[in-house]
This record gives sequence, structure tokens and C-alpha cells, in this order.
Amino acid sequence: MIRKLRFGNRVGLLALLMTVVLLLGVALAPVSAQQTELTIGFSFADVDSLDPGVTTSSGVGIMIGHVFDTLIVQNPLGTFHPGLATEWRVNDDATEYTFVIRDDAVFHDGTPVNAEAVKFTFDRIVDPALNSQMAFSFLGSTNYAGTDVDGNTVTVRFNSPNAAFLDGVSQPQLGIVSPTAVEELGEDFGFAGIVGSGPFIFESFTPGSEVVLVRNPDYNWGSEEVFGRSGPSDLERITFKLIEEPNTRLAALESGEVDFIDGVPGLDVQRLDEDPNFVIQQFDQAGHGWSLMFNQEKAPSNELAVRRAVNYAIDKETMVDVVWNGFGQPACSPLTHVMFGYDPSTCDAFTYDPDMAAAILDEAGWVLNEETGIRERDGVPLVLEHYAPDRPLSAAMAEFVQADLAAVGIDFQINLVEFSAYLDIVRAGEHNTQNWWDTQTDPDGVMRTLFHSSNADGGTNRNRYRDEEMDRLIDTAAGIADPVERAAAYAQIQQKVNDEALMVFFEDPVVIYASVPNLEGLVVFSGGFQPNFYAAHFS
Amino acid sequence: MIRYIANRLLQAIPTVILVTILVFLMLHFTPGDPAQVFLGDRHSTPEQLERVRAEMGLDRPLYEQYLNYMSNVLHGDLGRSLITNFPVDDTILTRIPHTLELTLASMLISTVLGVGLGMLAALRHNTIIDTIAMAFALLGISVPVYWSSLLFILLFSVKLGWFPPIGQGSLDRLVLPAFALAFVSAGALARMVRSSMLEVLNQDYVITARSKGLSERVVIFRHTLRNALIPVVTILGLTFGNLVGGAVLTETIFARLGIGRMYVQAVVEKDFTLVQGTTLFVALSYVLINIGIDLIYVFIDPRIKYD
Amino acid sequence: MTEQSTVRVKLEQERGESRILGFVRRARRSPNVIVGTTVLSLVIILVVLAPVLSPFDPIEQFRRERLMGPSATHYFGTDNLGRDIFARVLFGGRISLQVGIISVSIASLGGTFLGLISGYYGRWLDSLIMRLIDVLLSFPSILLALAIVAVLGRDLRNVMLAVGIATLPIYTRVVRASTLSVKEIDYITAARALGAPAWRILFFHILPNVLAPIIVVSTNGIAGAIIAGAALSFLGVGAQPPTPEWGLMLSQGQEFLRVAWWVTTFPGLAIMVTVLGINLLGDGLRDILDPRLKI
Repeated sequence: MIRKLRFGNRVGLLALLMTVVLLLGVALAPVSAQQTELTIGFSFADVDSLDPGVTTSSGVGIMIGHVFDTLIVQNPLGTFHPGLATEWRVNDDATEYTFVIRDDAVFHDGTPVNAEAVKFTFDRIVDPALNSQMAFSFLGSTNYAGTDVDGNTVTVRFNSPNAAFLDGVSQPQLGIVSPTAVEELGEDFGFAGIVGSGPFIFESFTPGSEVVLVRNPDYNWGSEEVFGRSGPSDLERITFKLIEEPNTRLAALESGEVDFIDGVPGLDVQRLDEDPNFVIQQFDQAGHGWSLMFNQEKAPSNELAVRRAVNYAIDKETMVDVVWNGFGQPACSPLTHVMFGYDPSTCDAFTYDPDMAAAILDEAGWVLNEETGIRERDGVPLVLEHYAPDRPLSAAMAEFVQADLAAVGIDFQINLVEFSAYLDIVRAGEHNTQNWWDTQTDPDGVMRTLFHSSNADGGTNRNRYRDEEMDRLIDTAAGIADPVERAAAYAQIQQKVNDEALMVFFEDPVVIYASVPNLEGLVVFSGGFQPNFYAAHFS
Repeated sequence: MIRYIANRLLQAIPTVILVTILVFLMLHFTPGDPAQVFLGDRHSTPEQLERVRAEMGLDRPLYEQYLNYMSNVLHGDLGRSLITNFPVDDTILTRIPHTLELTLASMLISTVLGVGLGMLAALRHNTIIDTIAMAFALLGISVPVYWSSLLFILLFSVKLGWFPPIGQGSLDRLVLPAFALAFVSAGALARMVRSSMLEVLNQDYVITARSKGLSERVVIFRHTLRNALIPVVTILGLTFGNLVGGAVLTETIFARLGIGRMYVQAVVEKDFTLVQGTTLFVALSYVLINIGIDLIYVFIDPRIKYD
Repeated sequence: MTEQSTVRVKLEQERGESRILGFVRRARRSPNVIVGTTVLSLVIILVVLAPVLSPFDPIEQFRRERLMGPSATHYFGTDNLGRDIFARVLFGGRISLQVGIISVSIASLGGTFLGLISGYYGRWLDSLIMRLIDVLLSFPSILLALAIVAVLGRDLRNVMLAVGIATLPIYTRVVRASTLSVKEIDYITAARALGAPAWRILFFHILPNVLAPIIVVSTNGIAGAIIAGAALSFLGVGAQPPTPEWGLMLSQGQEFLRVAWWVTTFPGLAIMVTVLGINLLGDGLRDILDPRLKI
């Protein structure tokens, strides 16, 4: 039984997210007989650091979300609930956020959680020496103006309006760290240990192998509204086994070695689904799916006609079937269809129409050379140099696109290179096209990453798109507190993106999990992307 | 002989230094920048890139970077990974036991399988046994290791439930990866043993020994196997030395801790300190293994002399 | 019999040109050589004639027929993008055979030469060559490949060179070990004492005696080289998708092993058949070239 849950919240607050209670049965088995150790087969094998301020991996966020508490908790439906902060206030222009910190929480090392610890956590992230990136952007990047402490309240200030901060501050990367532990462990914080105030205590980390967490017996400040409980977890131990190979991860589940896996290969879903020993869950992913970036500073991807033609020439419907084995759906916008601010009218912008693509190119003077099958203008062939890191999915996407573009006379040259050389090339802007994928829960992050000129110099905006009007639109939308007005502002941005055919949006992905059937109480945050096991238990 | 060993150990020093210099230079002159890998695909600015490069010491002259690194090494400090900031010595030391364990186990299996099959094939030359043994060897060398690994997992873990599919630390977790890895080298070894044995079996002295009426067993073990062993020992030594590169796929598929996968990734990410630290270890082990092999030659074939 | 073979050795040395004739005569009688040559020629003919024999374009995508098992239309089935695997195996051989054979040739020729002179001359030359081989062995081969390509450019020839150089130490060490032992054999010490020139001793007396392990290592190495060549494609060197190549087909099909066995099995079989042909041919040639072996 596939449970495909779509609770995309398009009208309401900041999010998308879904909750799931794994089985319908509510009856609780006697506690003594229960299995209390959970083992997870986890696909994100590359752990750069377990330090919330440092890590750039969304996967690490999933693990450390159990060790660190955030000031507020965003439930899967996108509403906010008290976490370490019992209440909070936002001023009218969204430049000041005031949080009242609860007084009964303690870190795992005994240090009390207080306003000073919050200030310490945030100020540490903006310290250039930490080289924080993910946490830094959740904290509003250079927009962050500082944190003031007054008794048990903190006020976080921004230079300009930042409506995305409630979302940001609920991310595990902004989890509150123990100042004592950070000082004691120094450079080893994030490797030899991490200390937060969450429901699980860090026990051990073996890079390339596993992360082990044990229950925090003193935990008493869980979000009742989100998890349905606030005391210590039923699980005594969670082990994240880092298993990179999808086939191996699956075999580990099937052989009973692990109880839960992420990243289930699409082709195996049906088989698992028919097997009563396993339960499959799918979520529409938040943020941004798979797409193609066009370098605006290099010919011929700087040409609107070429970008529009490419948009018309790719058969996304079939692409989803072929490249993603039918999982997910064709994408229309930089925001996946479950995101706040997503505009469904974007799907009218480009439909699969190779004739239209050919007509656009003809009109732009790109004439088909019958001999080579490639279009030319002034003797220059229409070639797009595509760069991608050496991963199977990159190859499949590129090969698919290549065939579709060849059909309209565009020579899409595939260059699969090793990861560091790839970064060299695309950061220097030597590519015509490259792929993008991202998961975020606030539209500001997605748009800023992709289209803001501040990210265009070798940063994440490898469209190398610089447009004052776009910058203004993005900055303005970030400061609008009213959800309806804010959604309208993002609709305008999406409109502009498709008018200028800035990118090709391939697929809105689904996140697929599989588990043993008696694992219950899983809560999945962040558009299906962040499973949380605090309230999980075996029936 | 002692003089020879001492001499070889002395030669090890320039060898290892040369390896580190070459690896250092090649890392710098191939495309890719650890600072960029560190910053990855997230938000970052050119200024940030410059700052990270400076922190990693990449803005200093090459000779200075190298000398600085080597002087730290001599003080027992292998540094920290540029990408993850994890200590390099720790990273290597937690992995080595598992890599060694896998290598030794798979070598044992492949030696038994390979030498056994090879001898059998040679002694029953041109019979059906020979053909079957060589077909098996052929299968071993041309079946990709991930293919056999996954097959092992599906059969022995998922279907039969005899062995756990992943991890390390206990004997039952060693069995599948060791056999999967041994398969390839057993095939290569069997062919080598067969060929050497066939050759030696036709050498004059063996023929003489046989004609003298010595028992077949004596002929095989005293005269034949010994001399057939030289290329076999060479191959075994190289396989053992290859413990780092040889097990990359096996480690990945069985989600096993090991040095191979880490090393490849460090090279691709241009993680200078981690690559250099591992290289030091690899170079040292190769040098020692090769000294060992050269000494074994003398033991096997007393005619061999080193000046 | 002892005398007979010694006599044959003498005769061979005295009559250079009839050696070649004898070689051909014996080759035609060796079943290994005949079968090996047939299998290998067949593989080469199939691969060369790929454009004629192939029912489909190897990069054409039949997307509605993706991951279909072997059938009357697609003899070997189709891959994840709906491409005909039979066509891809035929065309893929063009690159894979080249990579396999040429890189092994580079490694075995270079490695054998170094091993011969190292083992024969000994002393400082041995030390120098073997320490360089130690250096090469200690090197991460991926880094070596990246460096070669960074200097010489992204080209299939450089892939072969990289694979060749990376595997050269095996040949050097194997050949040197056998040379060390062979050079002490009576008739060779005798030849030396009689003042035969070094090159003559090396190539006419020692080389035939160390040929057996070289042939075994080379034929073992071909499958490895084809697979290693594919690993390099993934580093952005050499063949890029969608160009078919056996090794690359194997590694890309890995993902589908459980649902579509044919995607990896057929390129795997192609490698196996090629290696089989080369093995038989190699074993046969070894038997003929080895002066002591009876036919």
C-alpha cells in the first residue's frame, strides 16, 4: 500500500510538509517487550561535519535534528510551534524577531539553555572563521545584524526585512549548541562530539560508517503539538548506518539489518510495496527539483531564442518516466508544486513542442545543416557544452536531453567530469549548461540561490544571471509578511523566470522511504525531506 | 643478507620522499581546488573562496606548502582533512584494521582457491578437469566485482539470511566481501599457478626426478611447486600491496569501513592533507612488502643472489 | 627426452629462419591457437562490421521500450533509455577492444623490458628501476590518470597510456623475478661465459623463459583494463556518454541489476568471450614459443 500524501499547503503559511503516522493501529504494546533500538540505512554517506553551523549537507541535518533543539518547531503542515522558545514576536517590517527562552531546558553536558547560549550560537555562525554556509544563509546571511539578550529573551535583528526567518530558525542548522562544549571540544566539535539539548545524545561517529545516538533521559521539552509527546523518546538508541549504494541499502532492509531506509530506488518500489514485510512512503519534495541552468554569459546559452527552444524541445513527461522511472512529475517552476508561493500557471509557459522549438531557432537565424543535422548561424554550429559530475543520474539526464535536442538540431555536448574539476569549470563559468537540485522550505532561499546577482560571481547562481529588476523583486518578496501578498510577489518572479526562459525545470521529485511495518510515529519535516524519529516506536 | 636489507631500508627513504613530492605536485597541477569542494554547491562568494584558500594555506608558494607539511609530519602531526577538518591520523587508523582484515582474509581465500585450482589444472593438463578449472578462473577475472558482490548479498543475506550484508567488525561480516574480493584474484592466481607448474613440470630436472622413480608427491612438492611459486609470490605480494586500491568497489558495495574508498574520494576532492597522509602509509607498506617479497625469492630459489 | 630437448634448443639457436617456419607449422597444429584465433577474429569482425550488422543505431533511444528483456527485435534487450543493447555491444567493442589491447600492450612491453634489464643487470640499475616501480605502485592510479590527462589532454589515447602506465609495475616485478631465477640456469650462465652479447642472451635465452607469466598476466589484465578504462570515462577522460563502451555499460547497468539483468550481462559476456579468445591464443603461443615444451 503506497501512501502517497500530498498536503501541499498553497494558501497558508510558510510551508508544505506532511505528517505521517505509520500504521492505523493505535494500540500500544507493553513497553517491556518492545524493540527500542532503531537502525537506519542512510544514503547520505558523506558527512562533512556534525556541527550544525558548519555542515553543508542536508543529510547531516536529518541526523543532528535529533541532537539539537531549535527555538521554534515547524510542523509538517507549515505552522510554527514553541520549541526552546515558549513565545515569539515579529515586528511589523520583519526586521526584529524576539524569542522568550524556556527556563527548564539543559544541554546534554549540564549547561543550562539560556538566552546567552542562543546569542552564542548565532554569533558563532556569522564569524567568518567558521566558514558557515548553510546555517549562515538560514540566518539571513549578511542581512543578520546581531542578537541582543535581555534576561530570558533574545532579539534577532536584520538590516532589511526577512520574512523567511521563522522558517530558517526552525531548521536543524540553527539548532542551539552548548557554548561550554564548543569551547571544550574546539576543532573537534562536530567530529569527536556534539552537544545540544535535543531528545538524543551523541554517542559516537565513525566517518564512512555510522552515527550513533542514545536517548536523553532528562528530555522534557519536546513539542507536544508537533510530536504528540514531550518526554524522553521510546527509542533508547538510533543508529544511522551510512550506506551509499542504493542496492545495498535495500538489501540491508530486506535482510533485517536495518529497520528504515531512505532513497529507495524507484524500480524496486512496486516489489517492496507488494511485500507485506515492508511499508513504502512517498512525499513530494519541497524546494527545487531537478533542472538545467543556462549560463547567461556564454554564447549561445545567453540567447533567449536558444533557451526558449530548449524549453520547448524537451519532453518532460517522458523524461520523468525514463530518467526517474515514473516517480515525480514534470516541473514548471523553480519552486516544486508543493512549495508556498508556487504558481500553477507556470505550467502553461512551455509545453513539449519540437516544431515550435524549430520555428524559434529558424527565426533566430539558426539554420539546419542537412549534412551534420546541427543548426548553424554564420558558420557557427549550435553547440551547448554541458558539464556534470560523474554520477549515474547526471548521465541519464544528459543523455535524455541530448537526444531531444538533437531532434531539433542542437548539439548538446556531454562532459561528465570528476567533482572538483566540475566545480572548477562551472564556477569559472565555462559551461553553457549544468544541472541543479536543491531542497529548501522557503521560496526566498530558492530564488536567491538561483537568480540573485549577489550569487552570480561563481556562487550558486551559475545562470550567471544579473538583473537589477530581479534582485529588487527577490529582496522585496523576502520582506513581505502577509502570505497572500508574498505569494503574489513570488508569482511575479516565476513569471519573469519563464518569460526569459532562464532555466529548464525537469522534475519535481518524490522522496521515497521504506521501513518495517511495525515502526510507527515517524514525523517527516521539510517537505518530506527530514524524517524525525523522536516520536517513533515499534508496535 | 643483513647488509642487503639495511641497504634496501635506506633506499626506502628517498623512495617515499619522491612519492610524496610527486603526489603533491600532481595534486596541484590537476584541475580542482579543495577550497571549492569545501564550499561546495552552497551559497558562497569569491571573497569567501579566497579566505578559505588562505586558511588552507593554498595561497603560499608550493615549496613552502610542501616543506611545512613535511616538517609537521616529522613532528608526528599529519594534520586535518581540508574538507571535513577530521584529523588525518585518526581517519587512517580507524580504517586500517578493517582494510587489513579484508585483505588478509581475501588473500587467504584466493591463495587456497587459486593455488589449488591451478595445481589441479596443471596436473590434469588437457583433461576435462583442466578445462573446468580454467573456465572457473576465467569467470573470476572477467566478472566485475560489484556484480558478484551484489549477487552474494542477494543470495546469502537477503534470500538465505546466512550473513549480514553490510559493515565490519565481526567474522560473519567479513565472509561475503572477502569471498567477493578473492574471486577475482583467485582466477588470476589459478591461471598463473597452472602456467608456472606446466612449465616447471617440463623442466629437465623434474623430468629427471621423475625418471629416477621419485614418488609423484615428492616430485610435485619438492621440485615443482617451489619453482612455480616465484611468479605466484610476486602476484600475491602485489595484490597485498594493492590493498588500498583493490578494495574500493568491495568497500562501497558492502558499506565497509576501509581506506580504499576514502583515498579515492580524497584524491578526487583534492583533499591534500588526507591524500598525503594516506600516500605516506601506502608507500611505506609497498616498500616493506616488496623487500619481503625479494627475500622470499631467495628462500624459494636459492640460486637467486642479490649483489 | 632430456637430451632431445637440449638438442632442440641448440638447433633453434642455430637456424634462425627455420624458427619462423617451425613456428607457423606448429601454430597450425595447436588447437589452442586455432580456437583462440577463431574466437578473437570473430569478435573483431563483429565489432568492425558493427555498422553493417547492427539493426539499430547504438545511441537511438526507444523510450517506450526501455528496460525490455531480450526479444526478436532487441536481441540483447534495451537499457534504461531504451537503447538497443545488441547494437551497443557491437559498437562498444570498438573502444573497449582498443583500450583493452593497447593499454595491456603498453604495460606488458614496457614492463617486460624494464623487468628484463633490471633482473639481468642487477646492482644499481636494478635498485633504480625497482625503486621507481615502488614509487609508481604507491601512487593512487586515479591521480596518475588525472595527471596524464591534465598534461596531455582528454583523449582516448591518453586513457590507454594511463591504464598502461598504472599497470606496468606488475609486469616489471613478475618479469624481474623470473629473470633473477632464469639467469642462473646452466645454459644461460654458459652462454654468458662464452661471451654472447647481452641483448642476445636477454631476448633469445631469457625472454622465452619468462614468457609464460607475461602471457598469463596480460590476458588477465585485458578484462581489468577494459573495466578500468570505463572508470576513467567517469572521471571525464576518454569516452563520454552516450558513446557505447563495454566497461561503461557494465557500470551504468549496475543500478538495474535486480530488475534488468541483461543490461550488464551482455557487455560482461562480450568481455568474457574476448578474454577467452586471447587466453587460448596466448596459451597456445606460449606453448609454441617455449623451447622446452613438447607439443
